[in-house]
Amino acid sequence: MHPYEALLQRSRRRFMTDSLHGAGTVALAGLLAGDGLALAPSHAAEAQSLELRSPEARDSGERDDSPLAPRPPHFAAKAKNCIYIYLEGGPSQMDLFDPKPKLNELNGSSLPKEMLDKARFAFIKPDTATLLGSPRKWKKYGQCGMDFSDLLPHLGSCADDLLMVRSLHSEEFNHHPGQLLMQCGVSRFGMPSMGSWINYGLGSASQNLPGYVVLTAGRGGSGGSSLWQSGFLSTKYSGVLFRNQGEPVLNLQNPAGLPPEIQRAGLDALGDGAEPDALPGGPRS
Amino acid sequence: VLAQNCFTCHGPDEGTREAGLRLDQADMALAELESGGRAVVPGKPEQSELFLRVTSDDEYLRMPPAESGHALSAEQVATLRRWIEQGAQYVDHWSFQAAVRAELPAVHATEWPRNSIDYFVLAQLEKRGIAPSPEADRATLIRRLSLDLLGLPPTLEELDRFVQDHRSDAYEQLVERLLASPHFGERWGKHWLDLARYADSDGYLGDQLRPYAYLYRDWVMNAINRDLPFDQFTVEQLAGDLLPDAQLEQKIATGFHRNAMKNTEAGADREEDRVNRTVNYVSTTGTVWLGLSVGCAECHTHKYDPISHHEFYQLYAFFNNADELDVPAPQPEEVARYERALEQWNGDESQKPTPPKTTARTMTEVSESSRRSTRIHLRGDFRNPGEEVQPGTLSVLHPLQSRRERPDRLDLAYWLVDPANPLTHRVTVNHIWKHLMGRGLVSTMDNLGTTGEPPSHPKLLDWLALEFIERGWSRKGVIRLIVHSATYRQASVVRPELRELDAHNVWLARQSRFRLEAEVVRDLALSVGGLLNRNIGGPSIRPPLDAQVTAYSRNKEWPVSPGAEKYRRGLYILFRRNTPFSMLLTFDAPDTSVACAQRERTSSPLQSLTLLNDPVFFECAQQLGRRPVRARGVDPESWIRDIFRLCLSREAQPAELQRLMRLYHEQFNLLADVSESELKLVVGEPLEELDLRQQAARVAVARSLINVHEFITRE
Repeated sequence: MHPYEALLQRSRRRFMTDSLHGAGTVALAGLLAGDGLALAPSHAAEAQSLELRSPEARDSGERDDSPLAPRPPHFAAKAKNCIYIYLEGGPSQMDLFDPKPKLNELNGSSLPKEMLDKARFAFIKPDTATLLGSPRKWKKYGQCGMDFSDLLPHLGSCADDLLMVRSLHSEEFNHHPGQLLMQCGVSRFGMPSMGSWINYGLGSASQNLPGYVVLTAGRGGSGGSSLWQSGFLSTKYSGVLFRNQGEPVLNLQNPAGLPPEIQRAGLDALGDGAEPDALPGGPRS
Repeated sequence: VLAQNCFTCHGPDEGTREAGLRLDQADMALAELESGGRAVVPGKPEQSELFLRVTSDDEYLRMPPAESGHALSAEQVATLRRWIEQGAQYVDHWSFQAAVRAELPAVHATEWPRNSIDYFVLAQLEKRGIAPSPEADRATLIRRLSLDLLGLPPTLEELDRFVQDHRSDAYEQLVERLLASPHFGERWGKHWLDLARYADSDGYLGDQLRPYAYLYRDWVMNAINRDLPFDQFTVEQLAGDLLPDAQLEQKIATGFHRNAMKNTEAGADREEDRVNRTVNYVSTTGTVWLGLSVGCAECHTHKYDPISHHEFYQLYAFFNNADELDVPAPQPEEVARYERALEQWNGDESQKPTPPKTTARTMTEVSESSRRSTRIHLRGDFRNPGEEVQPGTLSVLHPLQSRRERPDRLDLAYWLVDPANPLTHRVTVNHIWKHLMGRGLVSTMDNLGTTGEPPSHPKLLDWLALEFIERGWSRKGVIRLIVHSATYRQASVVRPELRELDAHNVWLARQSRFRLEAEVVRDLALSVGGLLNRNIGGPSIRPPLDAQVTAYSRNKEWPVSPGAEKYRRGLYILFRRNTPFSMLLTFDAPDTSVACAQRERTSSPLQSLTLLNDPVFFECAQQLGRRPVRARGVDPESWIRDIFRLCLSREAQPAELQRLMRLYHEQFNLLADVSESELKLVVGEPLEELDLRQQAARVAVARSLINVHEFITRE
């Protein structure tokens, strides 16, 4: 037997022993099941039909396609990946890439009437407030003539490779509602975040890693887990928070002192319902 | 058919109505249209524009239009044709009609039913030629009942006693014992707290703690334990403060709506936040009691159900003058401690004992002089007020009886539990049914409106709803009725033919099996590990939680509860909205932002990692490895039999026992090379009777057992 074949077979057995009856181990192995390397396709289908489902779904005998299976988009996409970086706080756009000549003109004056009528302010006392322009020096970069301040000369050198959107507008002036608007499109709780929607609509190309991963820098976003929530979509589509210290996912490591072989033997025993020597597991039948 | 496919453009909402056509009301559907035609001409499909349009070959004329995403099946078109031929009678949506008590249907297998419920179920099964399942065995029954009624597994003693109890009413006796247990209130209280969106913090950026929110949780558990009639239970939570001579307890009950999130961020627009909360009161009340998506009418008239934009703000008006009020609620121990301290006080002002601080979160009506008038918020924007409205209810339902000229929250509460209300009793028994049978008679738990699923057993739903009122709105009464039924007692085994005949178990030819809720998964493990602290009520607890989980919150302190406090039941775990306890969310606990009428039941890799490696679950495995050896000797087989029964409430079958013994020996052999210090880490506390390696092998076997699917499944 070709060693690769052997690996396939071994993997299949591994998968079976991993997957059956261990509550969520099931799903963990299910993620592996979708991976073409770990399983021959026919086996993947068989494996999928066995587990990765709730007891109800299993009882219903329906084939339940993996909720994270890749799905084609409506339109052919050029992009393969999307990295979404959300920078909470930071310098103001009018000091970086969004020059406001009118504001500079009014520097030091009090608020114009048309602003007082419409706008709501969190802390500013409109009667005594004065306008502050930007002290930055501005330059147009690239053939497209994109504006950048003197704080971003290097980014300016890539201007023609960037798409800049400066028309975003928000009526939220508190942190958390504003963050929700940014992540979920609506400033209220219970709505899915963008990553959840993408995961729901397109599935995940890799079935052995979470489809939607969240990395935080430093303390992370103050809005907490609501910023990567799945809202009214299934919690399967929630972002999985990767930690920036220690094990990346909570409970990824074996308990202290427990050698990997012990973990292995324990998982193997969770067994395959089709094998006579399996643990019960299962819902009895 | 019309509601789901046409009402978006031809329904109650005037703002999005097309061609002046409204199909949800008879007079409008029959009237002459702007075009001169008539949508519906009773008896004459060929003259009905509606029928001509849905059957048109012209893509510009055909309804529903392709871009709506809706399409009618041939069967639906035939239904419409038949309906028009038969006179196009408009009948109110089923859930807006009063419940009717039907005669018990006739059945063939007259020996099967144990009570009235079973006649309704059996009649449907017989109609489809499906046989019900036999009764589950004793061991399954006690595990099912204990988990359903208490959220705890039976102890070995309870299991043995019941399996060997040969009295004819052993089952009923068991039910009574469980209904009387104080843990009943914890289990069913938690169901209610899901609806009440209970949490221990404000949410939003600041996510301030609500250290005394637990008083409301205690109230719920007590009320459910003493089976406070559901009508009273409702009235106290919505308007306990307005009852004549309202007691502190009744005021605490109004904490129901204090559970709404609150934005305390500096600079937040206070009025905007108050409006958001008030909107939340209305939608929550709609979901919890009416089973309608009332909240959809915040910005515009409801697209499918007869709830106008105007009516939403009539409901809003009931709550618009409800203000938050924290009232002193000193707890008995606190008072006693204070009094003792006062007696011993030496008179030094700097050492003067501080009086009890506990305050209850309640609602109160604002004073007459500061009453707010209520205006419609155009497009849901409070800065864009429309016409003024007065407190009022939904015109599609029964009339409101007001005690005074100006209706108040108490009137609203009485209106909700008026026996003439066709929704509250149905919604409530549907919830109870779902918790006991795995699926609601109406499967869309939060939607009995026109876009919800129709009930599988409408007559049974009505019968139960009326029986609920007849039994004095007794929650325990309805639960008793359901668990006594033969329907409930069936085995959950999926017979092969049922996969074909009834894949989703709609017709109830067996019990359902499902993964248990997050809190119960934890309680189960702690319970079999002998760690569970069964104290009831009081402030929330903080079991160990990885520091990085709370790190991103402004509110990151998480002092772990001392001693056995951290081993209390899952429902007491402090729920901080921004940084919820990881294990709970991993197992689909709701995020508490809105009322949750139905929890998700997902299966995810994070769950398996939790059961395998989370320190608490590992600790439970260590404890299982230490199960008493003195009485049984050091023989691993007896130990395996014991923990098997403890975890799964049944005897191991020979093959299972053999496999576990093999695992034990495998683990024992694998542990040969492991150092003593590592073995000590694995076993936790060493036992005298076993050597370290034996004990470590037991811990490893116990871990596998905790990870067996059956462990966290309710059969």
